[in-house]
Amino acid sequence: MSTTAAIQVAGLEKDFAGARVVAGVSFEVAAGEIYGLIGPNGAGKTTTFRILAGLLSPSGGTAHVDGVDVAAQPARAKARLGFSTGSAGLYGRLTAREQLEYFGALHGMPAAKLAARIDEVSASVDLTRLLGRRCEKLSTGEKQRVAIARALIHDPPVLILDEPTAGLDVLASRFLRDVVLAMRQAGKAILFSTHYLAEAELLCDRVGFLHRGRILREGKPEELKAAAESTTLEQAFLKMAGEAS
Amino acid sequence: MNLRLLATVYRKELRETLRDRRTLAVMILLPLVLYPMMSVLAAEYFISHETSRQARKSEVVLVGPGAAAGPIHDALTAASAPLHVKVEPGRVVDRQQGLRALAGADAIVVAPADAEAALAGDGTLELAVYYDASDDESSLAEERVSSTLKALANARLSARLEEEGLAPAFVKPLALTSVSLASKGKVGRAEVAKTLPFVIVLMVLMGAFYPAIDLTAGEKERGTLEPLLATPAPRRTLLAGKLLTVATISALTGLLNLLCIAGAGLWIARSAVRAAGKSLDLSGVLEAVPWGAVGLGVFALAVATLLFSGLMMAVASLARSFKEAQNFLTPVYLVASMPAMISWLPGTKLSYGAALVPIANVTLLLKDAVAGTLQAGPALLALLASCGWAAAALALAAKIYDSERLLFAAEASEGGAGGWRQLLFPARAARAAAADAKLRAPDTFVAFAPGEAFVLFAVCTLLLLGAGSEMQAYGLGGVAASLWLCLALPVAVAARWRLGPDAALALGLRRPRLRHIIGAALVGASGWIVLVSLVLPVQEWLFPTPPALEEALRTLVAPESSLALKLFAVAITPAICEELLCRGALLRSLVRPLGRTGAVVVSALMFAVLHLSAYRFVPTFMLGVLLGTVALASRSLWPAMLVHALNNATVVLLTGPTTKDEHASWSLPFAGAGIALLAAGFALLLPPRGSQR
Repeated sequence: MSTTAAIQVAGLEKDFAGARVVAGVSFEVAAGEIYGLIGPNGAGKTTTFRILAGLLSPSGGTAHVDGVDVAAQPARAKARLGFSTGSAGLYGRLTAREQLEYFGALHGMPAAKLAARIDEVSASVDLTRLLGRRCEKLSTGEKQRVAIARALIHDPPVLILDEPTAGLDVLASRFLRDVVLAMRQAGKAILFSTHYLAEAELLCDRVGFLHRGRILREGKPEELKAAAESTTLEQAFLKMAGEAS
Repeated sequence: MNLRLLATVYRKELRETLRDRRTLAVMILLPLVLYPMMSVLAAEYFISHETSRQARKSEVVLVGPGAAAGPIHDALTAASAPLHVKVEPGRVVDRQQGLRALAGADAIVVAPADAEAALAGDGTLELAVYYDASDDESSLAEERVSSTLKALANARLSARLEEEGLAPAFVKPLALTSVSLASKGKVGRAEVAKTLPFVIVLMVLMGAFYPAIDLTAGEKERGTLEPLLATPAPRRTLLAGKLLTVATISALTGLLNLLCIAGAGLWIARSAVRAAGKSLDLSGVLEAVPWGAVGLGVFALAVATLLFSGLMMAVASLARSFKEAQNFLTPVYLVASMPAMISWLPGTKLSYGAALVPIANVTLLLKDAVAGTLQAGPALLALLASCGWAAAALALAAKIYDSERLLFAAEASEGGAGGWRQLLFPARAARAAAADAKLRAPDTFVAFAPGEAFVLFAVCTLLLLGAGSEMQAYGLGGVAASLWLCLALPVAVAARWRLGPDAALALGLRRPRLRHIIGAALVGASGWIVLVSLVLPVQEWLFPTPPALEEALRTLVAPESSLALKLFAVAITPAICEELLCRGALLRSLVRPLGRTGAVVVSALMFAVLHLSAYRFVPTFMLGVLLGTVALASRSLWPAMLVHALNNATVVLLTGPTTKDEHASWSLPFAGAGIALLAAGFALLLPPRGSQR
């Protein structure tokens, strides 16, 4: 296992009441790389992400974020990780600024540093003019931008984005993709999931096909397409998943 | 705990909560606007209605030969009488006619022909007033007629006494004067003490309701819980901040309500007193209020807000959505508000026993504090007990908040044998999943999801209350039949329906180890000694058994039936039937959501509830804890059944139910021997150190 990878997942397992949801998942994501975890609902994507984010404890295997074992030192691992889900999950009765202030404070950021960081992050996701508005009044795309800004507030080296473009219109998802690419440029390791395989093809440096709790195959989108003799990633996935079941 | 972080969480939660319209409505709108408006409007309506009612003259018909003239006619038609009298000497009225006789009048007075003669002489004039006791106006007319005629009678009596040369005291040999030595203020406070604590406790509970949901299940529903828990802030700190917020809102609701009720009460009292042409004097009410005791009561209430908040947050955390949490919390609210009603009951005071009952203790403490009858001992115990209950609620909330179940109730129940639809329509898929789970983890392979187990429990309890109590009238045979039909049968049918041939295993009916059987035999033989020598005396001291119940228990076991029937009905049958429901269905289903300790405690509580006797609650609960521990330790239902059967059999064989007098004869060595046997039994039952699951 390389020591430079920002995310290291090895033999990860998770059982829910006797049912094995994640069954020995292993992958690595390097700094400055976008890794796409692709699979149908119930494949185990969200569970894997939740284990990495310290929300669930693994039943077996290990997960490291920026070199820190998430099971052994959850607080240290969480400090190195930005986590955002497709449902945005914002406090509707707080303004965007209050939202960012709250999460910055939960990350232990001092007030002066926090104010500067809010300006910086809001500018990077085009949020500055929305900062004073209550989140319940924002559009879906605007909410998603606040959620990304929140995940970035403590400037983590690792970012997990669980279906960030779900339910967004063309312009908003385009904008979000640009943001993700900019973050890669900034050297962050990005773990990403989406149901739009064309989007994964556009965005991801490498892709892992997750099916029934196992990684069927991983590699660059071109490699996977070539291996399955398919023209699109979607066809490749369907073919490999069909062979596996 | 990082206090700065705690303050951050508290500030944010409070700010967000105070921007929530629902919470604001319950906390501020209801007390500040609705209650005062309602009570003032109600009072004004009452006063104006009563005034116009009193101003209206009652319609009275005077009939009979003496109606047209004479003393009765004169008295009733006098200008001072609030009556409008219609004279119909020719009309005949008798009881046979019923209400038809009134024919629109409020009352009918029948005046006989010889009225004047009877009143003037020394006889008694027989008069009848017909009215409708079910009608308020008619009753008022009857009162007015009778007081008018009483004045006439008094005047005639005075005249007769004067004629005979007798003093008025002649017909009044005794005059009793009742003097209450309590000041007006104390009487007023005693009245307030009956209602106020109940209302305040209810308001505090209600105040905790919405914030508790909003900050747990609401957060889950809005999807904010995941990002929140993904921050490095410790979960305990997050929970503490939320809890303080809920407690603050709950306390504020109580306080605002108190102020508004007091304000509205004063306003109404002032208008009533002013209407009577006087001014309101409050000095009597406020003087000598035991402010120290009231302060203690307020402190106890503050502790209680932590209890309510912790309890409600713990329960709401189990829900997936706001709506589900509302469904979960409504029964909690109803059950929690019941002990508060104790302050309404006449004569209730804070005793040592009541001091241990959560919520009731705070209500009674407040009642005694306001009434000025608080005693130091029970008050201190109530305060300690409240702190203990609050700590337990907080620990429960912390346990749930720390568990993965908090986040992912849906996933956690997906793998198990859960879901309402699956209960109604047990699909093959569910059975296959259950069979899979059985192979993976036989210990967690359960027959029912927790909600299903509770519904089953409720059905069984209702059956036992209804059909069961009818059957139990037919002696011991009926008792046994009621348990088999109301408990064992529903559990068996539901489990079989749900899981087919796997039902027995899912209920915990697995072959036990020999070690566990011997351990259970020891526990079964000795548990009862401990119960009788240690638990029952404490129970009798706190809640003495009423003689009627003792007699009923005695006659249940003592009648001249054969020993075999007694053992079957009182030992074997309850052991099998009650274990199937309380341990097989309930306890096993609760282990996953509540953990082993929580499952044992809750199932023991339900076991005590099943016995439907407040006086036997504590010992039954203790027995339930014992049986639950045995069932979990042995991983089988059979040893628990053995303990249960042996325990009940000892009661039948040795003494019959014990009474207070018999407790005195149990010596310390006897109790010691019991504890030693119990310990030996548990040593065999509990897994050796190191192999604990």
